[in-house]
Amino acid sequence: MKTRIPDTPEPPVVPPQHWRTLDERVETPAARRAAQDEFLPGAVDISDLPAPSELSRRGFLGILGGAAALAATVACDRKAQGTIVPYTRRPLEVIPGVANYYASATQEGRRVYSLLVKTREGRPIHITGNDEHPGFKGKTGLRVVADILRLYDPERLRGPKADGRSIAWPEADRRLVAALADAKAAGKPVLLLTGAVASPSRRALLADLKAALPTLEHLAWEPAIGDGALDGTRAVFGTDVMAVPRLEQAKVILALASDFLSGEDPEAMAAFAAQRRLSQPGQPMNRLWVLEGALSLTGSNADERIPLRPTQLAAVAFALAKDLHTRHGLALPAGVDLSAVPGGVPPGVDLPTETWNRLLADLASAGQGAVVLCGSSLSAEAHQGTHLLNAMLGSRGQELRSADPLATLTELTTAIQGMAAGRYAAAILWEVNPAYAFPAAQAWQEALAKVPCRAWIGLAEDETAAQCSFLLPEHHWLEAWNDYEDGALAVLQQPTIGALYDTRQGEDTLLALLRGLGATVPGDYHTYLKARWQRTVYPSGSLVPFERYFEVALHDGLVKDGQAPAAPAFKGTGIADAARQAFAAQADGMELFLHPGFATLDGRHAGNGWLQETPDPVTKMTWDNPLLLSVADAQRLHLHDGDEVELALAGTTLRLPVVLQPGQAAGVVSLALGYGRTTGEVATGKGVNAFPLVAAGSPAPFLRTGLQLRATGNTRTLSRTQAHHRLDGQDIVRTFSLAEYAQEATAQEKAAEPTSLYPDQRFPNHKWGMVIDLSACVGCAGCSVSCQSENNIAVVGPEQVAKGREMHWIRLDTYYEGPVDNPTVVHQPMLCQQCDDAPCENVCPVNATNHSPEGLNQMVYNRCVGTRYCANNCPYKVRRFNFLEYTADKTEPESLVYNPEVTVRPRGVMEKCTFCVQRIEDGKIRAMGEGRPLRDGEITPACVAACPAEAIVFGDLKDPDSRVSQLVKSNRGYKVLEELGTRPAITYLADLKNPALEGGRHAK
Amino acid sequence: MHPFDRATRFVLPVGALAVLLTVLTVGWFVQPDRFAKGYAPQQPIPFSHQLHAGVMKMQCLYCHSGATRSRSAGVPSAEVCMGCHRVTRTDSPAIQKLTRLYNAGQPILWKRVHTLPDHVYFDHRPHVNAGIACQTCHGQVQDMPVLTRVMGMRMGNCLGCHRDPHAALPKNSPITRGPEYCSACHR
Amino acid sequence: MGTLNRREILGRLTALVAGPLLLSRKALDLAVRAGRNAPPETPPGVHPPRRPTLAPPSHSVPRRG
Repeated sequence: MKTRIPDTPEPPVVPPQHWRTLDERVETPAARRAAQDEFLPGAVDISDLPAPSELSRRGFLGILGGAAALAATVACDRKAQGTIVPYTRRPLEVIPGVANYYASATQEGRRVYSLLVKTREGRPIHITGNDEHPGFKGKTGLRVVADILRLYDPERLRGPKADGRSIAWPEADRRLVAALADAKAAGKPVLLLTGAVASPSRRALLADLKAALPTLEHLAWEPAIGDGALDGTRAVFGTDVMAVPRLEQAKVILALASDFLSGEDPEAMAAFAAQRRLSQPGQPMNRLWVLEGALSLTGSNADERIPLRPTQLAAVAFALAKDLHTRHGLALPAGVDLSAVPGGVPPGVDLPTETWNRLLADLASAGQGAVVLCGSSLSAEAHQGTHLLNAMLGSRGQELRSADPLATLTELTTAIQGMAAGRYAAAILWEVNPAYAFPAAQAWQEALAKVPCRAWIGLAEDETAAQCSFLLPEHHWLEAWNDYEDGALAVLQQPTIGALYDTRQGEDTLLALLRGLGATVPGDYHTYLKARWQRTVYPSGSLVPFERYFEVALHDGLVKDGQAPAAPAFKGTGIADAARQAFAAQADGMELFLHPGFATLDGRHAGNGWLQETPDPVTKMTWDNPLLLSVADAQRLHLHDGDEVELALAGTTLRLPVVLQPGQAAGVVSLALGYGRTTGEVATGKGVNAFPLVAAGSPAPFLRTGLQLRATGNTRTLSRTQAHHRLDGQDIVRTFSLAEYAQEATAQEKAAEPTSLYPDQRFPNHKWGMVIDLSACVGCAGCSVSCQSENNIAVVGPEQVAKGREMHWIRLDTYYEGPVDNPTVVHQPMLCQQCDDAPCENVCPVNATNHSPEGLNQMVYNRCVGTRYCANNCPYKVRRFNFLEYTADKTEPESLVYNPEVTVRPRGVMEKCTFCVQRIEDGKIRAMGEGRPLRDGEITPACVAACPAEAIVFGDLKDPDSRVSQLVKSNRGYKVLEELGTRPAITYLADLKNPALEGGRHAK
Repeated sequence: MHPFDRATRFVLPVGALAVLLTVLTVGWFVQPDRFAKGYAPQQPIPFSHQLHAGVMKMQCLYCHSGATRSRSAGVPSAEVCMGCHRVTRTDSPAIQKLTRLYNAGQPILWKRVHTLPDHVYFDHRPHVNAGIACQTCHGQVQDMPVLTRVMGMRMGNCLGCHRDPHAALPKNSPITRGPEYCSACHR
Repeated sequence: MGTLNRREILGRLTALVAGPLLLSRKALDLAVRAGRNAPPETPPGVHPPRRPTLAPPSHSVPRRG
């Protein structure tokens, strides 16, 4: 008998207040359906499974029966379980099953990261920040966390090669020394091209090499740092200077296309977030102004954001300086002449006067508490203007540190011309890849071919190595010694594993060359470094013997090394010229903004699967670098997400897909650098190489005009997660302006908890809970990368990501609110909510997911048969299914990175966040073993430990004194989709914005 | 007889009986207890727990020192053996073999007697730290000339004790139950 | 079933009986004889697959706990 259900009219479609895609914003039927489906249409498509064989169904069942019986016979053979092999001589510090931690460090570009490396059974498996470092306090950048994969990269060169054949190190040394000795005798220069030098010991070694080989020419080059930053700094300080944000004291921050919250500066993120975690209205909060063209991660966290063309930002900086001087009485530094600079909003800049005045008022009233940060992609003039503003304000929001000089593209071009002219007898290329990253790669290759002796030092053969006759593979930093200067701290890098292959630390190669040239130097860099420390760092007159001192330094990872050097003085003589240049810069038509890739930086990480698969925090693109367009421009050009365009600029043509980015300034297109590599299985074919578009010799090489765009008519599938896993509800994210927060906090009514048919859960001992502060969360995805490292999460590749099969247990959902051209943005980490009344637990036919007496929703992989009913029921869409076998063919060395405490899941099994239950259990067992109760903060899941902004707090809700119990009571607190009655264990604290103008940026 | 009757009355019952017999026969021989219990493989060096732990009353933790600090109790390195056997019983061929292997830096490939499947993350620490004697699960090791597995170590064994551990715990232990939730052992 | 002749039925019956018979024989064999066919105590001189050697770091100082 068929039941007749009366026709109900379709409920009116209400577009959501917080939307993620342009389709969601207008609530197209497809977007509405996506809210109700767990899996994307392509996700359960079996067409990518192996093709069926010739077997008939009958034959299959026959074999199935026989195989099952036979399998049962042999599968339970508990005998012959193999061997158990202990050490012959166990190193005293190794207890099998217990992790050892080593303090170490690394650098990326000019940045130094002080780290703690977790090793198991003698191999590193997880990287976090060094907790002994007073600035990092245990946090680090996500690319550093992911760099552990490079240690185990199967494509690493495993031994030296010459002319394509493997050779031994002594022979390689002999031949190289011979070439250098010849060069020295003939007085011909030798080019040494390296990355930024941040290590005093390496600097000393290079100086020693220069002394032994006077014709050595050393250039340090970082492709990701634009020439504008270098030239601008030199113009006003006379030397290379690093401007390190010190935002603890900053009340007003003005970011000119500066992506300081991008995740590579954990200290800046921590300092920024520290002033945004308000517990009561009326508490002080900093204010972030962002003027930029493309929506950056920093821009998405702005309190006030004005989309402008990047070429206009230099003029803006000088106009601000002028107005601060004439209207707010700030004195100009000596020698600065702004007479030719007009006051007020510069012509052509789309900034309302009221906003301009408010910005000035903010900067002036904050005074020393204001800081202006300039993005490295901007012009030299913009940087000079920024330094001028900071000097006028007397800003305490940044620390100026002298830095080793970096080569600009102009300087590099001169060297290349020298190579082409046959000037150099030898070239040594160490940790650089100019064949990929130099804009005129063709010129580089032709020039390098003219150098007789070409040596390459690096990890895995890349575009540059292809041309070099000597390939001298080096240790990964996890296998090597070094030291770094970090302000007033001397930071140490020590090996955490013996060398995996027949490689040699780059410095040891230089030492071998030095020895060959007749210098008396220690046999290895470790000795060299120790000797230098004993001479210069070890305090004279110390009562502690040096060996003991050094041992303690290695244990801590750092020592205080004297005073921070004095900041260089600002020289204003060139300002007038710079200002004139800034105002003369005209940009008609579209302008292109190039920036280092979030995942790849300058291409060095393009072979890192974790980074390639971590969605870009703003665009949520993976494995590709699309061209970003503003919605207005896209509508004008009739382009949609995924349409392929041809970008033509100064002789370079690229074909790439477009993505419409809300918040992008009209007339500005942006593109990430670091993609389009041509070596390496993971990196090849992913995205396009944008370095040919960089203009060497221009004051702003990363800002280009005169480009032409043409739709090709093709479309590309985008591996973009922005539309994936849509939650179906209204109250998912909350964001308040300070005024709204004041109202909310006093509002009395709090929605009653929905009634439940289920009996209450009982938690006798602990009840684990989490609080995530959206106001502190910047959206950097550091939590996601750390989780991937800790929990052996698989990388699935771009085709699978396009089908929605990405495996991240914690993801960042980005929501927009308001107008498309400049929306408010909120980032929300979404992970398993460990619901007390979990909808997933009731529907598992084999009881593979159930509730623990400590509040965790447990996922038992060995029981799961893969019906996916649980994922279907989860309203937060946080369950991840292994549709394919992602890990079975992983062998050493790749499998060495796995955490042995967590199962590596096979195909057909559901997985999700477990609150790092392995850490919880380990913490409980340790405390029990030591006969004491657990301390609050002792157990930290990977995401909690990784978040530089400390946005995630974890603890025992049954402990009234725990931090999480206090935060749960916050007046900003709410639970996502609470109306469903799932009773999540995670409380979110509403995001706060501190707009400057009445009515703020909320279109309420 | 109609062919269909023949099928139902004759082939089907015989077929069902055959399947049943198969399942029972295979199941009987496949009982993990049958294979794992009593497993006493010959070891590369005929180490006798009866001599060391029984007669000489050496502590379990002296060799298996990981039991209080790690998930796995571990097997002693050859160096631990050589700590005594540099000088004791150097005339024995077994000791001479041990010494040869140690000096050559060659590993000793002991046959593993106690194993759990990969999906079980057993942790020795809470058990040893709670005062549970090693013999509770590993049997009277001090009486074994050849180490023998006396317990099948199936999940039923674990849960049975977790539900009522008082027999295994020392008299004044405050512990009343062990964990019965999945994630204690399955992650 | 109606179309099968005597020979085919006999063939299937044989398979049905032979299956359990062979399986039980294999099971018995495993139960009784496995102890005698244990793997050798030292590995044969087979070239191990090319794998990285994991060596401890030299002179490095770990943290405690």
